[in-house]
Amino acid sequence: MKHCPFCKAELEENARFCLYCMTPLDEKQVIPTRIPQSKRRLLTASAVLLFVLCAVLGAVCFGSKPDPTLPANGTTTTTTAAITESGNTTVSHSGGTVSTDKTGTSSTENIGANTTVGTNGTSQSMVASQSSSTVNSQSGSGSSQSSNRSSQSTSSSAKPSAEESRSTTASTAANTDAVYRYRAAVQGDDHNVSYIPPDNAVVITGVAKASSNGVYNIPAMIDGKTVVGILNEAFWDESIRDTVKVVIVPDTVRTVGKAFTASYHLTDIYLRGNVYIDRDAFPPVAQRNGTLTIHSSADCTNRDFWKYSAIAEDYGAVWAEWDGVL
Amino acid sequence: MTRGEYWEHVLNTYRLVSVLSDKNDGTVYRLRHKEKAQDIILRSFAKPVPAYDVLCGIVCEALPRVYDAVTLEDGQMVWEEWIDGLTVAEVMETGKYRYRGARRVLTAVCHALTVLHERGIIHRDVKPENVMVDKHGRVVLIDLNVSRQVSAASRDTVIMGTVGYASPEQLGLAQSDARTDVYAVGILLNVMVTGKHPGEQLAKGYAGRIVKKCTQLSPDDRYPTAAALCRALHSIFPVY
Repeated sequence: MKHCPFCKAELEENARFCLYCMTPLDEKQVIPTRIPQSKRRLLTASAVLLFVLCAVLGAVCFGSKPDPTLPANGTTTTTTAAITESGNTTVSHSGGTVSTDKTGTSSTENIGANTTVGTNGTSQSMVASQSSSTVNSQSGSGSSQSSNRSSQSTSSSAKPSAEESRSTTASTAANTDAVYRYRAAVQGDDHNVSYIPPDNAVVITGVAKASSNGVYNIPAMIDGKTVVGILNEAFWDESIRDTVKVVIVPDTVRTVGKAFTASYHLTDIYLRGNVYIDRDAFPPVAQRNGTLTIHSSADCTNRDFWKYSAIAEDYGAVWAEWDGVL
Repeated sequence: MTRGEYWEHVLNTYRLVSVLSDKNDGTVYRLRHKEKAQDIILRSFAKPVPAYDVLCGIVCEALPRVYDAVTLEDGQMVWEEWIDGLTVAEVMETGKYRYRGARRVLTAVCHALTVLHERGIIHRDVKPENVMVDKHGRVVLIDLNVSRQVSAASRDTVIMGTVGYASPEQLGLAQSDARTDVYAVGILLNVMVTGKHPGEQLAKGYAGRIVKKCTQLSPDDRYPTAAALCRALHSIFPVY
């Protein structure tokens, strides 16, 4: 037998409710709900319309012809500037993808029966450009350039200067050199427990090597296998947690568990497609070092169909529209 | 302790307001706390309903809050939130729904079903009498008495559901799963906007297309999940 902490009535040991004072005694999981409201929808529709009008005006006033050397749809390239060892700046194209296309493979080593360490599938030219001094590397398409520009990020599609003010942290993402631990995905990994993952699906379970610039561009593929989830505690390791500043999630990822709960320096997360993010994926607001911004397209939803533009504040975060380009 | 003894014990603190339902599978009482003057539901079952144990652990706006599921010698008693409102069936006595209103109600129903399905529970009795709208506009899917927990080992052994809303598999033609509830929501949508079963009169426009997809004979041809159905309800172009 036990006693109600409020009215002191005697209750059964396993009682979850005090029928004497009508007080629930146990903690329950609160499932958020956002039922679309007409006013909010009207505001959202107006905001989207305004954005579209501004984009059209901007394109008319400042737009230029698209670069015919850019790759076909399915991939984007990003021009990044890297400070070289010699102090000169080189600009290299790196093939960051927004689709599930492979970005290249690297060597794999087994470190345990159920865990395989693989590189993050970044192209070899990208990896090479980080370690060499004056490499002009090229991946995908586009011509390579070198200049003595100061370190900044620009879009390789030669978009107007307004685009250059986009988050520099995102545009340097392609240079992430993190190495992830992963294993084959199984039923139960996804927040939808009835989801049965395909045979070539994997989930990220940890980080073997931290990113040198705080940006974790989660790959869509590792060693030819599709990344479909980021599991609980994946970024909790003491040597990793404080390095996490920016996370970019590919559209192959369906579920993000309690992965970044200890990443107090996380400031930006970029989402594509439909992905379910656990409510405890991020650190509590009081422990965060700054504002958390969720970047996603206007129609990007969690797979319970709620848009992140509407539920960002459930995470104690702000939402910013993102066109998916790094 | 038996249910009878538990009931006597409860009446020391509550008084009976009304018996909401008295069927073979269980009885539903509306009680009022003598001092707090707050209402609550107490369900009495001869056989435990596993869905209520699951709901004990969660709080979802589209589902009634289940405070406790007490297992006794001869059954189970479930303490549940009292919803002060009307059922969709009662609302429809005053007229049919417009599509926008039906969509708002069914959005919440789909959310409730998604939560249940993720926990392996099939409702199996989605109908206007089991959808409530309270005075604040909160929509709640109630009455899991005939729900079933899905597992690889279990099968439907009893034909359950309500005539007209029961999918072909509920009538014994196949095993029920989440798409069983999708079928019932399709019927519900049609009834809400036309007042009639799809067999009598199919809703017009894309509501009708959604109903048609929901009520396909083969579960494989329906929306695969309640969430997919909800997206279709909000989409300009229904997903085929």
